[in-house]
Amino acid sequence: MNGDGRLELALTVSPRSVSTIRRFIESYVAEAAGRLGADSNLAARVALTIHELLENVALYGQYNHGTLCLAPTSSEGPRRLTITVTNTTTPEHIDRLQQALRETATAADPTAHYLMLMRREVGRDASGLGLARIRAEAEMELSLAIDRNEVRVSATSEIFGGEP
Amino acid sequence: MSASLLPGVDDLDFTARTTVDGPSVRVVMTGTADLNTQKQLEAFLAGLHTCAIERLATTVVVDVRGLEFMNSSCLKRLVKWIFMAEAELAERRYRIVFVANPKAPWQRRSLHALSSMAPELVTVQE
Repeated sequence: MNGDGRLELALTVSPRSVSTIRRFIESYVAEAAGRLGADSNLAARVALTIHELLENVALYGQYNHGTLCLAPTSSEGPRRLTITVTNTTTPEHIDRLQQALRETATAADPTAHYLMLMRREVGRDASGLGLARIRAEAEMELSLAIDRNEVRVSATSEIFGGEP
Repeated sequence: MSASLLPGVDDLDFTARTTVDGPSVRVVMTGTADLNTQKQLEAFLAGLHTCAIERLATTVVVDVRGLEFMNSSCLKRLVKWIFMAEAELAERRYRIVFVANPKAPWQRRSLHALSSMAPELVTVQE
């Protein structure tokens, strides 16, 4: 994860493979974060984010296929890491995702919103908590881009730590 | 300490086992709790609740030090279980103590969120 340390993976994601991918990315980020003196919790926060996002691909992605991209940025301002998961899906899931993203990304207090959802969603089968958890626990800012049946969810965080 | 009659969860990546000693109930979870095990976890927690009530347990200790990761769906199952305990009459209600791994940063945050669902009932030990 240096100035151009972008990582991009094309994946077919099953519920069983999500943990394997999470472990790989966590090790990858931990190694880079240690080398750069970045936030010591960065790898764990990235791992949580990736697990929650890739489970959506396993559940709702067309052919369970998606791409995962980790892209550090070192332009003006604080250094940041953006995790992007892209996949195609159904119109119904796009609607649900848009609603969840709108609600979560604009909540003034991410933790209060997460706790509210824990209570509200407890009786429902689908999680409904993943995005709120990413924002509250992994401290990532979320955004969504849609192009026809393709969705691109991005989670961004400051890396903290020293200069490369 | 006796082994429980409560069936555990023994998945490829996740285990949950209970031991019962009189009114003391202890659960140990290891591995990764995620999409693969959420239904099993839900059934396990429902059985655990029944076991705790039948044994007149005052505390259920849940040792998650060996839990590598838990997804949001499984966290929601824990919330449901906490609400089941909270809904009991005061004399049947039991406390829930999570024993966490301080080296797993996600546990601190996730378990704190769980404890805030019912702070008088749920505590976290590291």
